[in-house]
Amino acid sequence: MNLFSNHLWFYIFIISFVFASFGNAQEFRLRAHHLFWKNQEANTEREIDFGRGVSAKILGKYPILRDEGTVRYISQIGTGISAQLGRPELRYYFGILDTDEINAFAAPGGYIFVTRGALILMSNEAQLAGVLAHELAHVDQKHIVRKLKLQSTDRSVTSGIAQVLGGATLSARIALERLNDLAFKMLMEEGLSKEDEADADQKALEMLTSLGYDPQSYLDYLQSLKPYLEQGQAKVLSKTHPTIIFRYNNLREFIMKNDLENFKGKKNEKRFQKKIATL
Amino acid sequence: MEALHQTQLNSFLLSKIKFVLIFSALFLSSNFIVPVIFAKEEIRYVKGLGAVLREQPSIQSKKLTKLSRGTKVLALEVKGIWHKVIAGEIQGWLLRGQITNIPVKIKKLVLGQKIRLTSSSGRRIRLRTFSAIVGVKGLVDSKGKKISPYQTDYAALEWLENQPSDEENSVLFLTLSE
Repeated sequence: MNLFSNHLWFYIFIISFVFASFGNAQEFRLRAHHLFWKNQEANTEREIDFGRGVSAKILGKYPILRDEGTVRYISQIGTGISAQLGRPELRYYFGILDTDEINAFAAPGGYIFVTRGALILMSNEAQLAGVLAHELAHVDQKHIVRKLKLQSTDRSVTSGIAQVLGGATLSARIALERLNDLAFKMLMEEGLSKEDEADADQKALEMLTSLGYDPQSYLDYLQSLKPYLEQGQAKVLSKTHPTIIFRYNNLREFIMKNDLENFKGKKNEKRFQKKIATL
Repeated sequence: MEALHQTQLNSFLLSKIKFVLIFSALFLSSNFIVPVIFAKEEIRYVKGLGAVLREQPSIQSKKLTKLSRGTKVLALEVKGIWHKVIAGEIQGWLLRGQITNIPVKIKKLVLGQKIRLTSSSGRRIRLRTFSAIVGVKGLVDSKGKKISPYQTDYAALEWLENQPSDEENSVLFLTLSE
């Protein structure tokens, strides 16, 4: 009691201070919330702008396959995944690249491409969903944007891609173009980090299981890539991704850890073969 | 002896409490009451990336105009988080956090951002301006003629963007199994 009365004036002061700050706390939160979302919107817009530039370069290298039926099928699978597990603020686009090379690309902002060669190699819908989910994970985790360090170091609410890529001056546009080139080079030559690829693989497997697809099919697809890596048909893929053994072991570990070994999902083999037959 | 000591202490505490109460009352009033009663017309400046002037003190209300960074406004009254201001000839409401009494320097968005990256020699450096980053990354060529060595195909991209997409149907399509 004595202790309390000795410090009573101090307690009262603290309590009055706390009460005084209550009134402002709610307003402050509101303001921060408003600012945060305003900035989020600007960031998303810039990311899409940036992704468009990168995808235009991908389409400059590989021609697009203008087969509306097949594109519609791929897009249906992809949109079905992204609508449930993707970022809600983006619209995702799924295209087919008319080349024999085996690969798939994801540009920031929701642009996802699969090559014709990869589609021919696949044997069921679960594998297609797995590849699309892998690319979706790259977009959702913003791997490219992060690797290019398009985020300023201070963590304030107004920092992000919009600050770095904002502005309509000529030098800003040249810089945007150059950063697009760096992202394109990353997709074609350098590749993302091993950790990012492992992360995307695990996320893809997670998506497959939650959608009821067979996760083992995705591992089978990775295994089936092996002979092509040596032939050169998947040269870009082997250059930009970790080895198949690493990816396979990473996924095996994930399956063991999450007890998915006996999970048997759907494969939709017939539907897939029918749609892909025209390629 | 001890009792006397106790009363002395009590009176001491009482005076302390009075002092604290007066102090906290002053503090509270300075926070809530004084700004409302003694609000004066003051010159403020729009900070941040700019601010939207609204008709009513609410985020849902109609946008009157967008004020750019550094615009001088006349602050009239405060209502919650909103400030009633006059900008030029238009009267409207701004968020309190969007204005400041310190004049704001007008600067471009991309400039003045501290961004950390690695130089070609492998040393980690901190740069102040975007143009410096562009220089270090070798992004701008001196003549500035050919911007990118890669070809682009925006027509194909637009074709892809124009393809129909229906989220509901796609989700339904995904749930079907043979």
